[in-house]
Amino acid sequence: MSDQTDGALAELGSATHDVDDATAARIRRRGKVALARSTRLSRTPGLAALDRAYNKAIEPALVFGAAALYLAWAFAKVLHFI
Amino acid sequence: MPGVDPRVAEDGELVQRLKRGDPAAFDAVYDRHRARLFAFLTRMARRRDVAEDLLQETFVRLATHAHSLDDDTELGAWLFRVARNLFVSHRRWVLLDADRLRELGLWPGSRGAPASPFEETAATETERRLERAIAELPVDYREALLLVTVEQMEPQHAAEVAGIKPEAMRQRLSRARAMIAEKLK
Repeated sequence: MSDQTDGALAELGSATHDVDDATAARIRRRGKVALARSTRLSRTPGLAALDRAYNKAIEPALVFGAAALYLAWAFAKVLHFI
Repeated sequence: MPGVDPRVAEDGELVQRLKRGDPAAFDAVYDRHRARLFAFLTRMARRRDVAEDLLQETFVRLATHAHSLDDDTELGAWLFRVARNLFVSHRRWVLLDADRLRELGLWPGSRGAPASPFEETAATETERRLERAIAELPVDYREALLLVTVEQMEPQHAAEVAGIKPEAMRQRLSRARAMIAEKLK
């Protein structure tokens, strides 16, 4: 590849491509909300542990339990009609 | 601080402030890296809307993991690594969808690589042809070329971002350069 092409590729990196203002503001807002939340959690170890337990164990267990119950109910209904 | 790269020192300070939950530090990181990450993600995904979603998720991850960052974290490399991994996950789902559609006979088939969203806004004919050539590269080669040649990362840093050995990165880069040269003939 020529030096000229290499230079042109490097110039692509210096060209500014950015999201529009509304999108930039939305992402900034969401990032700051996430930062405030994670800061709050990191300052309250008990809350952080609870949050982790909820996300990693309680919520998946609730979803799995609800799905299993629904499947069992649907299966029982099918058996009833057979 | 003699002997210390000012950029690294600045990153160290920003990491400390992020760990304290300082929103101004988030602003500083966001303003410094947003456009470069967006350009990288757009060229990788070849779609603006996907790039915007991945960009948002990248900065939300930064905010969520701010407290577990190492003190010597290089924020640029960290963000590129997260953005790259998010793109890889996204691509996996897209490929799964494509496979499912193919099984159902609903996949329209290959229509060639979509154009880069930056093609239309290219300032010169050379830029336009380059954007097109990059968009047509296989994803691994595109990634290598973007990180090293466009983003000007050292091949070793680019290899860390891509999660491969430096030698593999150099090979991909060399192949990517040869393919670009071929396309631009």
